[in-house]
Amino acid sequence: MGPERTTPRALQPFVAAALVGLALYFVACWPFARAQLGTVTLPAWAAPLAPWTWLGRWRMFTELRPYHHDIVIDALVDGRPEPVDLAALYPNHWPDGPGYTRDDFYRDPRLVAALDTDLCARVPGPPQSLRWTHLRWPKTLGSRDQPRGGLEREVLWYAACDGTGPVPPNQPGVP
Amino acid sequence: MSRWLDDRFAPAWAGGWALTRVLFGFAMIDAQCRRFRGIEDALAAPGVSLAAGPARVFEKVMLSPSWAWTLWVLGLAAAVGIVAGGRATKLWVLVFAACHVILLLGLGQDVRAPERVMIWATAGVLFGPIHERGLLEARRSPAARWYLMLVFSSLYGSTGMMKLVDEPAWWAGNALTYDLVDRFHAGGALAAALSGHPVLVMLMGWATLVIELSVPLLLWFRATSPLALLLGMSLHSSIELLMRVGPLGTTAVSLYPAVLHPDVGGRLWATACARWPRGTHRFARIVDGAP
Repeated sequence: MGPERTTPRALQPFVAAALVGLALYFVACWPFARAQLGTVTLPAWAAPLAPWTWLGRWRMFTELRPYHHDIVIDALVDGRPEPVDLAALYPNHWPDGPGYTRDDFYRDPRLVAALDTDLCARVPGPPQSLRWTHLRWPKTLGSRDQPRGGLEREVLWYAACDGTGPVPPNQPGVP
Repeated sequence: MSRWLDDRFAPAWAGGWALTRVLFGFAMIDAQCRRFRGIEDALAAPGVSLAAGPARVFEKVMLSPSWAWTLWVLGLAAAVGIVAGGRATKLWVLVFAACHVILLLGLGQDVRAPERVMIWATAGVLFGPIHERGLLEARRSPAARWYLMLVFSSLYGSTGMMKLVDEPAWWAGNALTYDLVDRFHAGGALAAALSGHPVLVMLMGWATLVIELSVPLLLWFRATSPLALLLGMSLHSSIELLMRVGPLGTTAVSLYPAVLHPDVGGRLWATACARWPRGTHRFARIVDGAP
């Protein structure tokens, strides 16, 4: 190998064009990153392009996040809620914490349905339905202890174990 | 046009790639060890396929612990091969990438910003001359360096602009304050203690904004290229000290020697060779396989 070499002349225009294309791709990804943050609304025609911008979206600790979040699931057995130890059943943790606590997870009907099916089969009872509750509590500044003071609960839905799909709270017949 | 391209593609000092190869290899060893500390723990969850995301194939084909450990060891060996260098380096990069991707998806692990950086970085090192020896005395195409500079400009610029334009809490310091006590990404003793000092954290937030917004500009000029990389290293070092964000910082910094302006890098190397001939010769033998 010689001490000096560069891109072959025949390829130089293509490499240059590819680099310009890459720059344009990154510029195009920015509004999609802002849309993911919720600060801009994309036009309808752009929505199908969003998955293609995944590689170029850099949203990292951007937004204010003053709360901790968690998901708890209670199994309703004969009408009585029995807490489910999700961490014991699903010890697989992401760097962000348990996968099921991420909104990317529990807003995906396919993944939620799979988790419901698995839990209905594994939880003793058997349960008639599962109650999904979203918890949030304010972060405590200046301390490693993060007590769950000021806890806010929001029931997301009830998932019947007969496979009929999730039912929002406050519906007739739902506890 | 031809003359213009000749000027743009004039060969440039390529010694930075030798150091980047070694650092990138160590960054990948770190990524592999950090990510997959407990294969059995991940596979112990029968519902692990729930978290496999778009990789639907892993709902049907589940990794056994034996296969997972085999892939983990193979990936680690490939990362060591990257550090060692030589003609097979790019093959080792591909092997590492394949093992890491299969483990991430097969074990239902999260794929986010650190993995995106690793994807871009892997493409960058494959584009560069990392399989060659003797780069400290060689001149090669600058194209791969431009690629990395575009990636870094996007990485720092995009996130900095979003903080500037879309989240005023960064100017007040609130955003960083709350991030420092995040349950999973921070919460260590130092981070928690800092979160109780709003003025200090506000200054840290301003510094983050200044660095993220200035690096994409400073990177492109010879005179400010070293400053850009020093600012980047200070940012990533601080994040590494206070938070847990996976291998993003180590991966990014491993590419810095290749991104440093080649005129600056070449001059630094020439000065070092003149001042410490034996040390630099030993360094070149170890890092660059020089005879």
